[in-house]
Amino acid sequence: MLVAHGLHHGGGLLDGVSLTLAPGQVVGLAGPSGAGKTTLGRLLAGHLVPERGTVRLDGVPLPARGFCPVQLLPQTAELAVNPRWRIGRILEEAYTPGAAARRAFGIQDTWLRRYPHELSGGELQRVVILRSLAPGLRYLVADEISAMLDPLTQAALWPHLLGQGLGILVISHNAALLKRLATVTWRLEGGRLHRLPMGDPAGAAADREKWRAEISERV
Amino acid sequence: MLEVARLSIGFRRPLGLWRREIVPALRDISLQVQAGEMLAVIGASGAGKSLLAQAILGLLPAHAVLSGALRYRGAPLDPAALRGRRIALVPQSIAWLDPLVRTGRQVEWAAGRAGLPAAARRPAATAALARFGLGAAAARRFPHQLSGGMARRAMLAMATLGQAELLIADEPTNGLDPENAARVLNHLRTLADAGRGVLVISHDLAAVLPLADRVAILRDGALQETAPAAAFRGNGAALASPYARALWRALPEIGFLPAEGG
Repeated sequence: MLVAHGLHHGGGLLDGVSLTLAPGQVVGLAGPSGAGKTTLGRLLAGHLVPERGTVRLDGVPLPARGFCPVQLLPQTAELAVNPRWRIGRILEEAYTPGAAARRAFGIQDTWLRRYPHELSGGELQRVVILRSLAPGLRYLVADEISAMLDPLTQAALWPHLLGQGLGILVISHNAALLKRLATVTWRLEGGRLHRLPMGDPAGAAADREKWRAEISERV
Repeated sequence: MLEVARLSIGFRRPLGLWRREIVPALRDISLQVQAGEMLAVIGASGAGKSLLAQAILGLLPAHAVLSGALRYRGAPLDPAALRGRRIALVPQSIAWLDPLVRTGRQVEWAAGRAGLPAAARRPAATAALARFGLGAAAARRFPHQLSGGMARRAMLAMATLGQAELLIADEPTNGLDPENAARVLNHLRTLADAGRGVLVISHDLAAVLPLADRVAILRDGALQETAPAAAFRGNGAALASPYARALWRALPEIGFLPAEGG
């Protein structure tokens, strides 16, 4: 269980935010630009230390060294890689993904010799995602990772991520996407979280089940 | 207003020491933009959307090879003569603005490029910014001090303060939250309704559908089809190409389904 408790950060940007992510649970996070969604994501993944409050994984603080079981997938993949490294080296930063995993994410062998600027944003995004799925990973914070992707690439990406059985915080402006993915959605506004009402929780759950069944036939 | 006829673009690349090959990037594209119309060009990254805009504006890199015809109001298109005057670009990012110059001043420059006399530039710039909800405070800021939505509106103000009849907006909603994205697209729609031609380039089918008149679907450098926006409904049966149907069904609002076979 990943538990954030009473987070205060950024001089009132986050003003007492508490959030729980259970293993395998997909939670949505919406909110206007500048509300602090990315800051909250960075706190949860240990990229920032909160001014007040705690982030605990199964009751203990996140590890200060080594691979963190909570990984952040940033909005801009270009800024999350070393521009002087080739894709092959970037992919193996934390572990060595097998050829089957590369295929599942549509990462072609010819890319491995290339540099980040020689891939499109969507292609690099898939590299960064596969890089984060190291053994020991348990939670993902996905910060607008599919906003810049076309609908087909986006629809192909999410089933793969959901298939990992991870707890995922999906940060997105796209209400339709959150409805598809998340069982609970929060809206961050005025420094606090507000739970978004689900119009028809049973219907939404049934839709998700039906969608997952359809997807599993295809991928 | 704008007619693109059988446009192909390739890039020259050295092959060995003496030979050269041409790598095709856009193949045989034909489309028109009418006055008063908003045409959306939709495609994944790498489909060639921005190349199309660069070709219309005459901004292709030197090693590009172009064939086919571009016509503006029936005459061959001369980008250097029309750019910034009759045809204006709303660029993709604030990287197109000068980071060291206050926003209002840059809008005045745009007024100068649009052919306004020196004395008329400042009032024209102020009025243009006001049309997009930007006041004196925003005009005094440097580009990096504007939010993404404000910067986009400032660039819209620059593109529209002249007499440009055709606007080309490259990914106008990228990085904007839904409210700001809708605001920018609504502005473009208003400009089309006032009689200008608007060409919107985007990967975001869901955002442009409510406002565009027609949608051209580009894939791997080739045009799959140009359909009325109203054809994107139900299960997509009104769409001619399998790719356009797949794109429609992949939207989270519709089916959220990846292409057959993964």
